[in-house]
Amino acid sequence: MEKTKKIVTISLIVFIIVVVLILGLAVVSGQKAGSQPVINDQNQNIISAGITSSEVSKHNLINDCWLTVNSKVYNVTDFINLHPGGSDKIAPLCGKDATQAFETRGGNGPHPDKAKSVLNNYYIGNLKI
Amino acid sequence: MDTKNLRAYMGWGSVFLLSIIPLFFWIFQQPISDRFSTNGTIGTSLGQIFGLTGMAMFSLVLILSSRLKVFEKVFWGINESYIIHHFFGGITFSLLLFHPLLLLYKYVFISYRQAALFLLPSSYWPQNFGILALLVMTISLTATFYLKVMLKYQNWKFLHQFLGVAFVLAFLHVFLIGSDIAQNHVLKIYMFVLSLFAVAAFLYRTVFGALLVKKYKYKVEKVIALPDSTFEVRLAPSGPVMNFFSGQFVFITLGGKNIPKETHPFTVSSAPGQGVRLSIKESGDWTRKIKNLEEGVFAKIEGPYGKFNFRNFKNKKQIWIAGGIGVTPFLSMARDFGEADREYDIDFYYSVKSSDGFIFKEELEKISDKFKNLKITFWVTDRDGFIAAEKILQNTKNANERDILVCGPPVMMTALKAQFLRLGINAKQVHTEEFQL
Repeated sequence: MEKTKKIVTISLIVFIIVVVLILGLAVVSGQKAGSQPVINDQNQNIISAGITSSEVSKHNLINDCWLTVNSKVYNVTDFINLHPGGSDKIAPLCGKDATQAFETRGGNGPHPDKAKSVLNNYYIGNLKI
Repeated sequence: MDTKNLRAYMGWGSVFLLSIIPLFFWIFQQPISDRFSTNGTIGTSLGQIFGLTGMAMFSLVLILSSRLKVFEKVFWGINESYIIHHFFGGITFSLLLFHPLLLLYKYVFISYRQAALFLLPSSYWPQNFGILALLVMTISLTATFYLKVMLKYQNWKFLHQFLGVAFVLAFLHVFLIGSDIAQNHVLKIYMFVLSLFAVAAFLYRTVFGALLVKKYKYKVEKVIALPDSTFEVRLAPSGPVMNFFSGQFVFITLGGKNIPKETHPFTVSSAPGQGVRLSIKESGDWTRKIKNLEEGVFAKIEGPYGKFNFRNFKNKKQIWIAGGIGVTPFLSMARDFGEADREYDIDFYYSVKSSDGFIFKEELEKISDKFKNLKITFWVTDRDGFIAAEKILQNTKNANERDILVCGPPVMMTALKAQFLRLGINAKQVHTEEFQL
């Protein structure tokens, strides 16, 4: 087969396999703890479902840490030790609403813009109102 | 490095560079270590890289499809720009297929259901546009790559051009989704300008084609039957005359009730000064109707294109190899061969399957008799076996010093080129003219 066609064929096959796998596993497996149907949204629009705050509060450990900032839920478990301000600033907020802390940094002013980009990397869903 | 190879490198290089420029903006948007801090963020970051590169590349591929005359000069013949379009088009599709897969990686750590929901449409339209774009791309490219043999050319072409629609959907996705593009103004402008050119190129070719694309008006003077299911179509100008070099090709649309109004490329097999004559072989659903072409109907010609001409190569010692209907550019060159070409030393091999398959054999023999420096060998596969590099090197004096021009069926050109390379001929000495990709 001609080179370009070969590359396209392999990509297409991998794509189909992964998609079928994911959809299949989603149907077959039950929901893992903690996920209500959440639809991806990186803008401010609120959509149908979301993660409840009681759900967020279940993830209040350093090795399983979710928090909320401005009605969006983030899984920051892997970020805690990377926090430039120290892990001790984040740990007490696990399972809780961290909006105030994020916006004011306990009186030290708001986080720089880059921090907002970094936070986005850990987004997992919207808070259900 | 001679001009052709330099231009080819620049062509491929510039498309590649323009595709990865977005990544330079992306890298400085955030500390790199944050982007790759965890499995989840690695997936997201790779997904973004693939998406940005894929979208930039998509724009460039669309721009290349416009076959603007300027590409003839920039890429050394429009054929190269089509080869670049084809290759990067395939890469674009692959990148964009992996884009959602990489992005959904982080959701797998939450649940399969979450990951599945990421793939499905929702009320969030910026993402829906992305899903739709990929769906249209997949349908269009599945037809393009895998169904070409079962589709009529017209239908195949229509399905392929539907990628313009996929691009518009991708555009909406990219500019509404609120990722790095939204956060970095320079990146946003870059992607926007590229996209604008892409949409303009697409509209120029398709929607506004009849209005904007320059075509010469000719009419069909005569249709003559030749051996090997081939027909010579002789055209005369109804307006301004098209100037061309031997070996160039044109895109032609023919009138009359027997021929569908499709546009197809053909080499001009006459020499400059002999009018425009095409030698068309029956091979697909459209070419099989050429025998019913009526004399006196219109012909719209777009061109000329191509740099496949013996005088474009510095090396005056050449080998020409023609396979079947691939003889057309060489026919033009042979007819154009003159006293001024005294210093050229050409060994021309014309290969067909059976001995009654040659077209214009007597005319070529006369040309070869007149010019001793243009030697023609008529090769018959049924009698002499497949033409092979080894045999040519044995037969031709100083073969390894010559530039080799090949035109014929894709399988033949690929095989011959590989054979020559294996026998120690430099790739830069072998030049091919592809009629199809």
